[in-house]
Amino acid sequence: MPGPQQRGPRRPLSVRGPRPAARTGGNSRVRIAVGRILLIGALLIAGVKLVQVQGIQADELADQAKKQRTTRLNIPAERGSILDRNGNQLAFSIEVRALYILPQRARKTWDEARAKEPEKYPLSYDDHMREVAKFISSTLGPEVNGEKTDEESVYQQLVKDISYEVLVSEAEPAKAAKIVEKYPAEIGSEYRSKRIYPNGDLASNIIGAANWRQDEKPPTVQGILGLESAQDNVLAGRMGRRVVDTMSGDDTLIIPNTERELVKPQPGKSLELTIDIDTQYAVQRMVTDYAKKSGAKNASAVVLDSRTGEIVAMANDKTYDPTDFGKANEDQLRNGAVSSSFEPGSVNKIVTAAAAVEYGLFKPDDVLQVPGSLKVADRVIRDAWTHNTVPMSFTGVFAKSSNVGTLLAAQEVGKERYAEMLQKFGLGRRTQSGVPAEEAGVVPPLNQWSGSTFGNLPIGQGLSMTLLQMTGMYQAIANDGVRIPPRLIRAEIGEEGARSEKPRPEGVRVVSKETAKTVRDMFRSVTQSDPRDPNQNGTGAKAAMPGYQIAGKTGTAQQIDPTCKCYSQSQYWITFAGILPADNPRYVVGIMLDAPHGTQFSASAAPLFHDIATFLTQRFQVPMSAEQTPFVQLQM
Amino acid sequence: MTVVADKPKSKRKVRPAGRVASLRGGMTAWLSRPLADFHLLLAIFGMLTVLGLVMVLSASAPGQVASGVSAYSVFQKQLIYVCIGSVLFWLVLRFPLRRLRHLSTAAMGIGVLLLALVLTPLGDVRGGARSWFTVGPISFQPIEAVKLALALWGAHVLVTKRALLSQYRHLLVPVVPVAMLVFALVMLQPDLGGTITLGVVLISLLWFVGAPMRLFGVIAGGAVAGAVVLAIGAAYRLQRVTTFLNPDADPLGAGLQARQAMFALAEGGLFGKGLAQGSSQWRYLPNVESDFIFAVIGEELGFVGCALVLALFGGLAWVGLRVAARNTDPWIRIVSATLTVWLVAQAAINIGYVVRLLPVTGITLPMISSGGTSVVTTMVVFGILANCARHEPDAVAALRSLGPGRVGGLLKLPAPEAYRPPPKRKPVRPSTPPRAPGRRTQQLPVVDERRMAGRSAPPSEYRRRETRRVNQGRSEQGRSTRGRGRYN
Repeated sequence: MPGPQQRGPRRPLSVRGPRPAARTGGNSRVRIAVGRILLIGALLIAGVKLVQVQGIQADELADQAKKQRTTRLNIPAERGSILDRNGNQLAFSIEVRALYILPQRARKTWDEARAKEPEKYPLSYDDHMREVAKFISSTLGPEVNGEKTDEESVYQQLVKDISYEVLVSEAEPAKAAKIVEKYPAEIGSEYRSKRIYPNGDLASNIIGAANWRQDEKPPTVQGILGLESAQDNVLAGRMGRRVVDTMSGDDTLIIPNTERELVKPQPGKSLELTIDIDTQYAVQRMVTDYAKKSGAKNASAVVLDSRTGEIVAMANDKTYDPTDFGKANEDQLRNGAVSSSFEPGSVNKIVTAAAAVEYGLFKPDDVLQVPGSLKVADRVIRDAWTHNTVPMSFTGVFAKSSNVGTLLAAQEVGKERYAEMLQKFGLGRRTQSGVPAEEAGVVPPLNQWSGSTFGNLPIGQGLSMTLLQMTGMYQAIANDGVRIPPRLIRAEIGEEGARSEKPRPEGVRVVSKETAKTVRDMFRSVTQSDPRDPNQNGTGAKAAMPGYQIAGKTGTAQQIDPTCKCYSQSQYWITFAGILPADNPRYVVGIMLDAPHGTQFSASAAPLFHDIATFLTQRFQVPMSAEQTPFVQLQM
Repeated sequence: MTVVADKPKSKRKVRPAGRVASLRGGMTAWLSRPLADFHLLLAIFGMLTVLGLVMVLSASAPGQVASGVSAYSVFQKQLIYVCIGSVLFWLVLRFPLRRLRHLSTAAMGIGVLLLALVLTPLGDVRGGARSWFTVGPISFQPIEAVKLALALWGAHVLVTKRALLSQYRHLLVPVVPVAMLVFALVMLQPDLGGTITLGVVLISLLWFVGAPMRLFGVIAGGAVAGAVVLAIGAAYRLQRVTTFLNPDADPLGAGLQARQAMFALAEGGLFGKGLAQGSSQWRYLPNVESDFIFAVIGEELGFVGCALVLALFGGLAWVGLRVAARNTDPWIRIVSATLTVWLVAQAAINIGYVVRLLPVTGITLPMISSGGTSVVTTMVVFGILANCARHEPDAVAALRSLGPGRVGGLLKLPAPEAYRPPPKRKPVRPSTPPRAPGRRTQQLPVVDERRMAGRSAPPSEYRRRETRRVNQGRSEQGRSTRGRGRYN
């Protein structure tokens, strides 16, 4: 390579040639060497830096890198179903998809793409969205579960000036997939789960409601009311989790082979209830009808299996649609059979009867001289009908529901033994039945009794109980003196049908078997009717069923008048509790009507018992009693 | 280092100095073979091409799939460009360098014209720079061709004027003004990376032509001043510089690329995650298949892969400058040195900013980054370098005496011409080496004969000529022995 010319006029001609040449060559060699050193040196410096990055700092930087890619994905756990005793579904979950769009972003992307390649995107964003709306509407139909999906309303959503818009929240997965496949750039689809209640408002007061909660973290179906809420932990199961690496900016695009820390989802367990769906339906309908007929503010009925204490049906006249519980009012949401307590009235007389028989104080055919009134402390108690002192059989005292006669018997029993009996019957405490929102009722403790308390409790005033507790008392008598706390949940069904039965609660011996039978037999007379002598009529003659012995008790309790804080003379709790059939008990039915008035059905719940019992005998093919209820002389 | 001169050396290799010595001896012997540079260049070229294709596929596939197109779409394009480049490589390898030199002036003119045209609406704007011509399905950047044209033409001008280069006027005009014009046109696009590469080409031209050191001092000062002015002049460039100085200030904005590149390299560690197992191409690292492909190499092939790439470019630097050193034709010397510096400097700058030694400039990694014009141009450059390697006097002698060899035969390469110094040189330049007169008289008939035979002369021509050149070979041998050390 030629270099700067070196002139050497003093040098001899012979040496002039080689010297500059050597110099040029030398210069060129040096420059090439310098070039080499610079280039290779630069690469070496990069190499040194690489050693630092890939060796020394590698772990620290790699950790940061891993963090930014990691996405935790929740694998939704399937929520358990709620089944009746025969495996019919009362509530179950299905998978659905929410379709959404990011309208602002979609518009921006579309306009940019269109500006770049106008021939590929001939339509404007709005026109394009018309097409999209048309496709969505034709795929989904005009409406999905109350959400409008006709072309115009979808179009309006698509072109909204908003960052995020859910088009449909409960689309079928197959249809959603079809839409997303056609318009992947615009429409997104999201997993949702939907709770289905195939029977509508049937038993909704018990089952409650669950729905998709988008605000939960992570979003999931959550029980809001009733069993769905109370048993949420069992039903919900546990979400699975996996950790994956995902593409930057798109957490749904998983980089292959990066799945790790896999935790399988644990599907929720299904609950098998003791409810029989058909009975529940019939009872619910009858209760609703009767509440209307009788003009009652509220009405409830409970059907227990007398041998197991299982709740076969529990109905209220007011229910709600679980898929739209937001519209329901307080009364509809309440399960009156367990969450409202009331004074039971004469139904409570069974405590006195059982105690008196248990302690051998009276036999059914003992005759009592019942005066027209009885003074207890500062109160004078009368019967529902005016009479002078009349001789009544012990059975007759209860069949005719004589307050005075009952109190006479109670006084024989004594306060302590009576209080103890109340406790044995399970009053004043929750039954632990598993029905959500259960009340305990109020029984004044013995040491707080005033003088008149013992004049009130035996006739069912001054204490309160729920309908379930009331029915439970009769279950004890029906089940030969052993009270089995009522229950609602029979079994939990886990994965692959693994069924784990809930242990049957421990029975409580209330009275002896003989006492129970005696009391049952005595209470049969409540349904007795004698067309020749009205004095021999029981109070619940309308509950009687041909072919079956029915033991039961009517009740009428005065409600508290909120204006005077005294017992009202116009508003009553009308109750009834009955055993079907009395000679071989299978079912116990409890009924409560809250303040019925104004109709011929307002005075008694016995006709409703009759209807329910009739249904039960047919539904469960209850064999007829071997003999008719024998006639008993009630009033001498 | 001529064939004859080295032969005795290689025979002496059987010294009992141990295995290392014998290995070194073997290496030296192999390297001193006449076509060693040519073969090394071919090897480097091949490895870089294959590595580039593999890495482009690996780096581009996920992003392409995510955009809803074929995973191979970028790779296919790259493959097509590599095929075009291979054909051009072969054509350039066959092309007589003398004619290339003669064409360089025209090429430079066309290049400047294209650079001017690309600024008009004829050019396409991509990535914020008006630097593309699009003709139907193909698009290209004139800047890449202009870099090459500047190297060839600049060398041509400087070599032609080499007698007058002691005067600054002749040294600088017309090369520097034309280069400045080109810089200006490129900065109007704007394309900082292109300007820097052009600057490297210009400086290396001046460096190897033997410009005084003082000039480089001035250039260094000017470059620093220019860099400062440019950096402050445009917001995005200033941001790049501040990002480089304080990389963690904005890890999701300006510092994103540099940070993600660090992550990718670090995750690769020593041996890497394996091909296609990297994650930066999942849109974590923008421009991953072009500017930042070295990060993917680091992630998937680890330090080993990076070291291989560094070694390949280091090898290119060494071999390319060795070609320059071993050639006698001053134009070939300058051209091969300049082209080598261009490629290696470009690689070094790219790798430098990937490993965060330099601020980010959009300079691609030659042969490996995806990018059509760049890869085609680089392949042409490799073609010229390989052609230069075949013009080393030893290679010329060997090819002419022993035939084209296995590679040359396979590629049907014509025999290279020997260098014939310009006849005018002697009277004008008293500094011409004293051997020149002898050589000229003896070499003239060779060239004439070569011209008569034409480029498509049959291979048998070598053998025919062999006998004819016995005398000539002898005299050459004698001369080389005498002048040994001058060109090795």
